[in-house]
Amino acid sequence: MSQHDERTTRSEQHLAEEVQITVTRRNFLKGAATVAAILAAGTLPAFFTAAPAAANAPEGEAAGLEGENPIGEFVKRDGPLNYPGKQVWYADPPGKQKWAMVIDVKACVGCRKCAYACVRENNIGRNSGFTYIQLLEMEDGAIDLEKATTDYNEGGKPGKWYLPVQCMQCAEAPCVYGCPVKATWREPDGIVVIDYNKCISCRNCMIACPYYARHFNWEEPEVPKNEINPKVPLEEKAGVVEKCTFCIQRTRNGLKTACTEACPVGARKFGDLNDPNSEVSVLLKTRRAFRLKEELGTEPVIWYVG
Amino acid sequence: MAGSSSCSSSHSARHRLARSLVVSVTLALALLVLAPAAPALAGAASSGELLFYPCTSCHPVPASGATRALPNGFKGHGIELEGHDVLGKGDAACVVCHDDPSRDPGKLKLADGSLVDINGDISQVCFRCHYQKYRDFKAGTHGKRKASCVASGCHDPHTPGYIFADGIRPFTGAGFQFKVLPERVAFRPLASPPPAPPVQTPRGFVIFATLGLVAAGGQIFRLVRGRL
Amino acid sequence: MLESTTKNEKQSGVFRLIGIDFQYGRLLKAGPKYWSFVAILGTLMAVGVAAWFTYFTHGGSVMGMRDTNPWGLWFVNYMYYVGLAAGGLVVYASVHLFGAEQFKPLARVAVLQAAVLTMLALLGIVSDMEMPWRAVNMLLSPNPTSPFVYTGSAAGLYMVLCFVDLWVLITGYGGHKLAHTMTLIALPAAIYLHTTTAFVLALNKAKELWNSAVMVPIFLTSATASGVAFLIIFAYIAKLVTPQLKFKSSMFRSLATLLATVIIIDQFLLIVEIITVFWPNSAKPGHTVRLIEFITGPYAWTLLPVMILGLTSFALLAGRKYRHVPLVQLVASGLYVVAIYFKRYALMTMGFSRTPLGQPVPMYVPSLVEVLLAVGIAAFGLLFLTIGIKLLPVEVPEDEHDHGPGEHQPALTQSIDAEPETGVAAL
Repeated sequence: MSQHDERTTRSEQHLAEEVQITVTRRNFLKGAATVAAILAAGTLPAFFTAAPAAANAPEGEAAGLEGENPIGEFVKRDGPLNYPGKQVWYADPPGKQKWAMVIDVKACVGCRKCAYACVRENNIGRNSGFTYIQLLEMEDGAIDLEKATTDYNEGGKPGKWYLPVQCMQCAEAPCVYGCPVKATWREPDGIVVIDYNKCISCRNCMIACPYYARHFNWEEPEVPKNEINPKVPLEEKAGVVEKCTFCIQRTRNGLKTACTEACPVGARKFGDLNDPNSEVSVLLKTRRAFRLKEELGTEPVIWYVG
Repeated sequence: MAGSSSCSSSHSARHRLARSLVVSVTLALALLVLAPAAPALAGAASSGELLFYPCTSCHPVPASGATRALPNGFKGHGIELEGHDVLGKGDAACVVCHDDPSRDPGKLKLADGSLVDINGDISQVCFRCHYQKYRDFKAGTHGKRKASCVASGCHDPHTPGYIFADGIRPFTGAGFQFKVLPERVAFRPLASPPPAPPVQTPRGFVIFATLGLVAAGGQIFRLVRGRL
Repeated sequence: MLESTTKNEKQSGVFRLIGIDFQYGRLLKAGPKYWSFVAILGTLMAVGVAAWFTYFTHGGSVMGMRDTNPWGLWFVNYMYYVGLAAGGLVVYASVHLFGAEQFKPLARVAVLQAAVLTMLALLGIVSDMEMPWRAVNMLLSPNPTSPFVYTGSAAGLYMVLCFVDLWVLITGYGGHKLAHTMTLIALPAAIYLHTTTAFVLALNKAKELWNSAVMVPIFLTSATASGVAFLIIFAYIAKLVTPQLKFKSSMFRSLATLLATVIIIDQFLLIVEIITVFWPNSAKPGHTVRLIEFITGPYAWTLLPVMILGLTSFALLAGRKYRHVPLVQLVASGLYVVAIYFKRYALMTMGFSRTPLGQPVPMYVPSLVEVLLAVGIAAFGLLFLTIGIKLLPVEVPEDEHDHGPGEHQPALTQSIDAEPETGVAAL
């Protein structure tokens, strides 16, 4: 019974104590104004970074519609991002090309030869659990990624079409903008590369990429000794992010990418947009082309023709 | 008749009658033989070799008609004609590309009427009709950059909609192994995407962690129970 | 003021260093229950160290994250700890910015909480890096367009700021003016820190579910609410452990009112987001698909508790009659602290329910190494706080201005608290 009395005394005591309100209206407004001012000052860095980007933007979409060659317009805007000026150690320095790739989805049969040629060419670990190139089996009639599947055991099925997806080497790459240490950048010829020695494994770029193009080496990549390609790094890739580089070790030497050469039906075309006679330029001028996730504004350099 | 005897007039009149009889009978027989071949000649741009040697009498269309082996035992001589069967009925389709007067199926006709050997640049034959595809092929934007449309192993000339794709399935003679367009036929592609590496939990860590958690758990238990 | 010697300096059980009187005597006098609690935390910390060591030697495959779920428990904990740290400081800062004197006694405890929790957040990030020494690259070549840079640097600076602030409060260096200025910097820094954390998620157009401007206000309100809730719990425990702390129950009632207000704003923002997504044809289809899968799919267990626990805790605090009861406050705070953890976990897994190419993703399950590493880090933080509230002079002197030992140093063994101890066994 004494315990009950103690409790009631305590609660009465609590109720009896008044909360001392010392926040006057003046104090509150002063504080709020101070906080607002400091928050506003905190947004200043955003203006500094946005200003150069706005200055470099093209003069508006109308420029492309006035009958000018839209490819030429793209080529003018295309350029390096966060380029540190240092050379990729396993490839030649960039030339004046603007690399692009065109994939003919009418011809693609989903055989996955490109995916595995890429694995062999680029020292992708056989235990790493990913390939740079993914094939999506799409339903006819729409580009509906939600209904697509990567896990198919029959290619060339009637009523389906096949969409190969890989790093799009975007001109406005979200991964380049998102890397905290500038370990990934876009070279002047359009290829987005990664410095494996700088990557801090934060995987922010993997979150930012809308095409699922970047992959992390959760394990040390293992490649059978007789299949190692000496022209491409292997040990440096342990514990960092890697992705398709348009076979930078081949394309800077005048070759085509491994996937382009491996395709048995010639569905892939790789070339230089600056050359009006290259296969990609001709295709983009004569056929109807589209890009994946165009509405995100990433400006990929892989087009699809039907 | 050993020779012509011009000595006796009654002898020559009989000879002349016999000769004209032979000629007329031969002509009649010839007409009889030609008659059934007449439809085959309709629309043909070539001379009459087809009357005596219609292609389809040895190379039946479709290939399933080749039930009997040739005298040398070869049985793969039937021809499937699909897509290009719109060029004509029966043997008329054959002569559109294969030139008949020279009786050489190894010579093909070009747009200006000249002939090209089957080992030459026979893509020009396809060019006669498929000029857009040929323009793309020359620019490198159609298929792969190969030497020609047909002999390089992409299109079969008799069933051009069926594509031979390197390394997907082997090309074995005149059979048609791989269909890509216009009708897709399922085939077995390379392996599905590899699975992600499994989660490892090293045994040493499990042992240490179990010990630590048991120790901590025991302490918590004792703390909660109020004893120490 | 720091160098001046007073007669209190030679008091036994006090060790003076960098101007702070470390109360190791109080620590040594602590009872066996305290020490067994410390031992538990130490064991858990050792397990965490073993987990980190395993990660170093075996690489990323010991973690439960894969390409389909590149971020996992460590980021959930980062968001959570940053939220708790920022929220707690809001309370303390309102003393100086808005003149809310009733929170004055909480000052040092709140700042200590903020400092330690931010340290835990940074530990969470560093523990996920396979090569932590490469973090120096963020100083050598930071990318101004990456929100990660801003949040990482903000966390580091904020941690240093909080520790310095704690030192300033305890030693009284610079007097009231310096303390006031530091608060003027600390509160916006806390808000800035949590805003940049929200931007790490919100600025990804690849993830439709995160790419929303409302992410920032949701983070701020969740942070404040969970921070205040944690502060309530921590203050009660600190009062239990260090009887010298004088926390009036009116102060707790103010805290509870503040908590209730922020909880309801937080829940409101969550409902706003849900309406925007589920209204017919108002959100991007990918956005809706992912949220539907979230309500009906394998991740439903993470999102539903957020609403249930959140509204329950608001209901507990809403009634004026019961808001002052410590048990009610503690239960509501506990529920909300848990609810916000679910919310952070839900947010993380929400973004990965499908790959960017629309393929369904197997459910993320944190591996044993990940979980024990997180437990180890949490144990380290708790250990720091537990020893801190005994070792550091965390009680605020009764007089108006926050002066240090140089002037009005109250005798530590004297209890000038008028309010009776609420039935607590002295430890």
